[in-house]
Amino acid sequence: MGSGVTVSGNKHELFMLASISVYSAVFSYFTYLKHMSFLSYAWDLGTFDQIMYSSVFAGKPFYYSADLFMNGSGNYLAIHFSPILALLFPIYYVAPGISTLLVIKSVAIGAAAYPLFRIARRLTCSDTTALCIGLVYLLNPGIHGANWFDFQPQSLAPLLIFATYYLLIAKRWAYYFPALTLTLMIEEHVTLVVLLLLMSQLIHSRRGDLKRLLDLGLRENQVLHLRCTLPCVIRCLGCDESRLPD
Amino acid sequence: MKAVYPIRPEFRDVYAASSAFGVLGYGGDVLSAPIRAILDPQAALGALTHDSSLKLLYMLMLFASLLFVPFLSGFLAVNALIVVPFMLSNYRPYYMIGSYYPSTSCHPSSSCTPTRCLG
Repeated sequence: MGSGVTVSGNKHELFMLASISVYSAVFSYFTYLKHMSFLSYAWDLGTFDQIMYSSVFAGKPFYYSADLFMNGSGNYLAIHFSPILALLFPIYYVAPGISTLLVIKSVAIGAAAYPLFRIARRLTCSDTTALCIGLVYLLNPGIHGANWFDFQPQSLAPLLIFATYYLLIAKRWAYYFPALTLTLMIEEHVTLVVLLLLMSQLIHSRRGDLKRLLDLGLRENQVLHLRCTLPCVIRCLGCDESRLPD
Repeated sequence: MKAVYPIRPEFRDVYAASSAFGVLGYGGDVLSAPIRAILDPQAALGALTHDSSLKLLYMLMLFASLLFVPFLSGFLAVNALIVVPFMLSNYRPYYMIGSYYPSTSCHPSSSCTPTRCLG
């Protein structure tokens, strides 16, 4: 039985990984095709390509020129706090170009289905349900639309938020805190999402604790009640109280 | 960070995206928009019904694929706090498929689903 479940689980996991690979490949190809058809924009693909290029090759970290009219310094961090972009600098150094950003985005959005699959499997204890939820995420038009539009650091949000949430419910603290730090590095607004998820989880777990405490309290009350009433009942019935077990 | 790299004051409204909540009769900070909506329910209703067909379609796209299961989960509160300000806006990328904003509202709804399946 156990080995059967594992084999079945592995099959589901392999299918999930294959779906993620297909999704990433298809979206990498078509978003690149979109760019090559002159359907990409200065806001945001041009902006992020310039940020990458100026940081890696021109010695001007996070510099871009599209918003110079309002952001005189030209530093992207003045608009949004996204230091996570620095983690992409080495990749851009190895393969500079628009296609790198588009592939990173498609892979990151697609890969988010895997931690979601793990979350669903852990919570529902069903490989099929977990696979369905993972596939629904990959087929969600909202996700497709987000993937289709240029490049933004927010595209890393689903992957890192799902991973953080999974590590939280799995209580794998050694990985949880680095994942949480990376999530908070995406953008300032992500803090709100993380905060709400953590609060919900806290309330959910506290509710469970409260229920367990109440159950325990009721059981103790029943024991106390029995201890007080039983001797009285026995005395009324005229039995020898000393012969009762402790 | 804002102190190190200041924004030109004449473009502060552009930076704060104040016009995104013009339909709410509000031109301040985006994060304070829900407070404004609570204080002026009539304006909030007007803002909600602005582009109502697009907003309804957006909600359908967001939740229909999950069979509306997230609506049965307490975790939906997480999603609501992100989606409701979008629904009060007149800035179309907030409530239309095709921009990156849904990527911040899709994943809480996805994580609501297994939580509800748990029972």
